[in-house]
Amino acid sequence: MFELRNISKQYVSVTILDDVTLEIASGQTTVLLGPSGCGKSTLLRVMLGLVRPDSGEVRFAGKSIAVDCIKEQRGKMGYVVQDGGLFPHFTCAQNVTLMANHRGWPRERIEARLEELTRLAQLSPETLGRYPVETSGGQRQRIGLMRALMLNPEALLLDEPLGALDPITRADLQRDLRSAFQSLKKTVVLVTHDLAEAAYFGDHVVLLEKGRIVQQGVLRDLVQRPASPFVTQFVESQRGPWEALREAIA
Amino acid sequence: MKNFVLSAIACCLFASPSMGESGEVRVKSKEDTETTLLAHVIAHLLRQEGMQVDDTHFRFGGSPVVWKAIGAGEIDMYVDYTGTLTNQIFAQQGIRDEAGLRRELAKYGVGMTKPLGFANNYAIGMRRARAEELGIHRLSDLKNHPKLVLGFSNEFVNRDDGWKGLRRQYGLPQADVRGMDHRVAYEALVAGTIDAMELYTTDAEIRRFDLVALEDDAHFFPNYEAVILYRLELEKSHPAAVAACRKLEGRLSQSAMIEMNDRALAKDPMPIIAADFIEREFGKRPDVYIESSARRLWRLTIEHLTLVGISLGAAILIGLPLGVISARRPRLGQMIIGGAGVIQTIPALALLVFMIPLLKTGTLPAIVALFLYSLLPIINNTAAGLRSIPRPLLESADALGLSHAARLRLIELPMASPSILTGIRTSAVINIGTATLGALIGAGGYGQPIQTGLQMMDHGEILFGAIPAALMALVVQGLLTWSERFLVPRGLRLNPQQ
Repeated sequence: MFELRNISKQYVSVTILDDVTLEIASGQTTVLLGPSGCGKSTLLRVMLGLVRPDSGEVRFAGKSIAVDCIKEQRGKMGYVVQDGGLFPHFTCAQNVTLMANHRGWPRERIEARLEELTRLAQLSPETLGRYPVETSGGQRQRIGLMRALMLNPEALLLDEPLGALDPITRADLQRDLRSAFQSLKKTVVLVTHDLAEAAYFGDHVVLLEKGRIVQQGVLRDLVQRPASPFVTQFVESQRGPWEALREAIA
Repeated sequence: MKNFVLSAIACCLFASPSMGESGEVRVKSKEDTETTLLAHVIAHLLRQEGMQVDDTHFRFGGSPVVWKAIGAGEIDMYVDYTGTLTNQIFAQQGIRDEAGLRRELAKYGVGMTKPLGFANNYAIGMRRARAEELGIHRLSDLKNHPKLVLGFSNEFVNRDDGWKGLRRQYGLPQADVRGMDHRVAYEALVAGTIDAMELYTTDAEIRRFDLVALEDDAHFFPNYEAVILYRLELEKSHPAAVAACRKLEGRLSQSAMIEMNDRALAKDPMPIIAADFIEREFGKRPDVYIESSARRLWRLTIEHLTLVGISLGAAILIGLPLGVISARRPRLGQMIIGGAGVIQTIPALALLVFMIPLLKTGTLPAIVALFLYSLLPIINNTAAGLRSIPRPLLESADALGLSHAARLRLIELPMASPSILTGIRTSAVINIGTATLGALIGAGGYGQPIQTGLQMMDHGEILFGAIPAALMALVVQGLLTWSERFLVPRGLRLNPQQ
C-alpha cells in the first residue's frame, strides 16, 4: 500500500529520519514502534504528505505522493491523532461528517454511514450531538476514528491513539479498535512507544531508533532474535506492571 | 498606491457633504469665539439674501487648517486677521501693505474684503486702578518700573512679534516674566499676582475687569484687522454672496465686537447675538434658527457614527485578510504588523494633519486616519488567533483532504473568531475615542462640542460631547460582546467544567 524509499528528513540540523526504506503491506496492521524522538510520528506524517521529506520518494497505492493529487490521495487515507484531533467548534457528528458534507454527499447517505460507524466504534448515539469539550477522552478517540473512516479510506493511520487515556478506558478502546480493524480488513499503520500495544495490534512491527529502522518483522523475532543491543534494551525496558509488582512485594 | 486605494474606498463609501455640491455657500470659522460669532453674522446676512448656507462645523480648525481648506476650495469664506495672514501664514513673504496681501492671496484664488472695522491687536494691559496709581499710560512708561511682574501666554513670550521683540523695541527692564495660560493670566491679573499681561484688544474681559490697554507709542504691534476671506470663484458663481459679506466692511466697531464677545462669554447663544447685531446695524432682524439640544445631539451622533462605522468597517475588511497573511507568512507578517504598529505610534493629531495635503479636510481624511488607527488590533488579534490553533488540528484538517481555502473557512476562522472579535472590540473603542479629534479638521461628531468647550472653558459643552462618546463606546462594546453569541461557535464558548 505504501512504499517509502530512502526517506531522509532534517529539522534545522537535527536528523529526524535517516535513509528509511519501508514497504507497508495491504490489508494488515503495521506498528511503528520506538522511543520518543525516534522519528516514528514523522514517518507517519511523511506517508500522509503532511511532512515533505528532504530526499526520497513515497508512493501510495502505486502513485507518488504529489501536490497535484494530494487531496484525492488523502481521501483514501484516514488519520487519527492523540486525543482525536477534533475541531472544538463542531459537534461530534459535525466532526465526523465534515468531509462528506464538504464533498456534497446526499443526506441519507451521510446518515446511513454515520449510523454504521457509530455501531462500529461502539459509541453511544447521544454523544454525537455534543461538543468535543463535553465528551471524555475515550469518546473523543472513538469520534476521531469515525471521522477518519467516514469516507471509507483504503488505509488508516493512527498516531498514538491510546496515549492519553486512563488504563480502563484504554483497555476498552484497545479491544474495540482491534475488532474494528479485523472487521474492516484495511491497511492500518499505528504509531506507539508501547511494546504491549504493538504485540496486541501488530501483524508486522517496525522498530525505529534515531531515525533509522533497526529491526522489523513479527514481534517474536524482535524478542527472540534481536538485531542489536538496542532492541534487547528496548524490549527489556518495557516490562509489564505485574513484574514490577512482583518485585515490590518480594 | 496604498493611499490611492484607501481614498478610493472611502470615496466609494461616503460622499462628504463638505466637498462642494449644490449651491450652498460654505461659511466656516476658526476655533475661537470671535470668528465663530462673525461666521454666524455672515450666515445670517447670506440667508437674508435668500442664499443657502452650509454652516455645519463652524469651528473648522486652527488658522493653518482653515487657510489650507479655503486654498483647496473646500470652504467658501471665513474671517481672519491681516496680522495673522502677514505674520503667520505668509511670514516668509515679507508683505507690507494691504495691496501686497491682496496680491499674495489672489495667487491662491482667495479674495479679501476691506477691513470690517475693528482690529483685534495685541496690547499690554493692566488694571485701570493699578495703572493710574503708577502713572502708566504708554508702553514706554514701563521702562521706569523694573519690578513689575508680567504674565504672558507661552506663545507670546517666545515670539519675535511678542515679548522678545517688545522688550528690544522699548528697552524694557522687567525680569519677572511668567508663562501662563491666557485665561489664567486674567485671573492672576485681577488677583494682583501679576501687574500686566498681553491682551487681545477685543477680549470681553477688558471691560468686565476694568482693564486698560497701554498705548503702543512706538507702533510695535502689527495690525490685526478683521477681514473676510472668500474664494475668488464666488465673484462669478455667487456674486450676491460676495456683495452680502461686503456689507460688513467698516460696519463692525471695536465696541460692538467687544460687546458681542462679552455676551458670548456669558453663554448667550451665538446665533442670537449675531442676529441682534444685524438688526441694530442693518435694521432687519434675520430669522434665527437655534438647533435644540436633542436635534444637535442626534446630528452629532449620526456624524460620529458615520466616522466610526465606515472607518471600522473598512478596517475589518482590510485587517482580517492582512491578519491571515501575517499568520501564514511570518516574515511578511512581521512587516505588516510592524507597519501597523508604526501607524499606531503616530499621535492622532499629527496623523490627521498629515492627511490634509493628501485628502484635504473634512470627513474623508478623518475616516482614513481612523481606519489606519483601527488596523493594528484587528490584524494582530486575527494573526494571534490563527497562530494559536494547535498543529495537530491543522494537520488533521489537511489529512482530511481540505484545501487551504476550505481549511481557513471551515476550521481556522471559526476557531480564531473569539480572538478576532476581541480585536474588533478593541479597535472600536479606540476608534470612538479618537474620532473626537476629527472635529479638529472639520469632520464633526462628538469632538465638536468638546473642542468648542475647550476653547470657551465651558465644562457643560465639553461634557455634551464627552459623555455621549463614552456612552457610545460602552454601547458598541456591549453590542459586540452580545454578538459573540451568534458569531462565536457554541463549542468554543462551552466551559468544560460545566
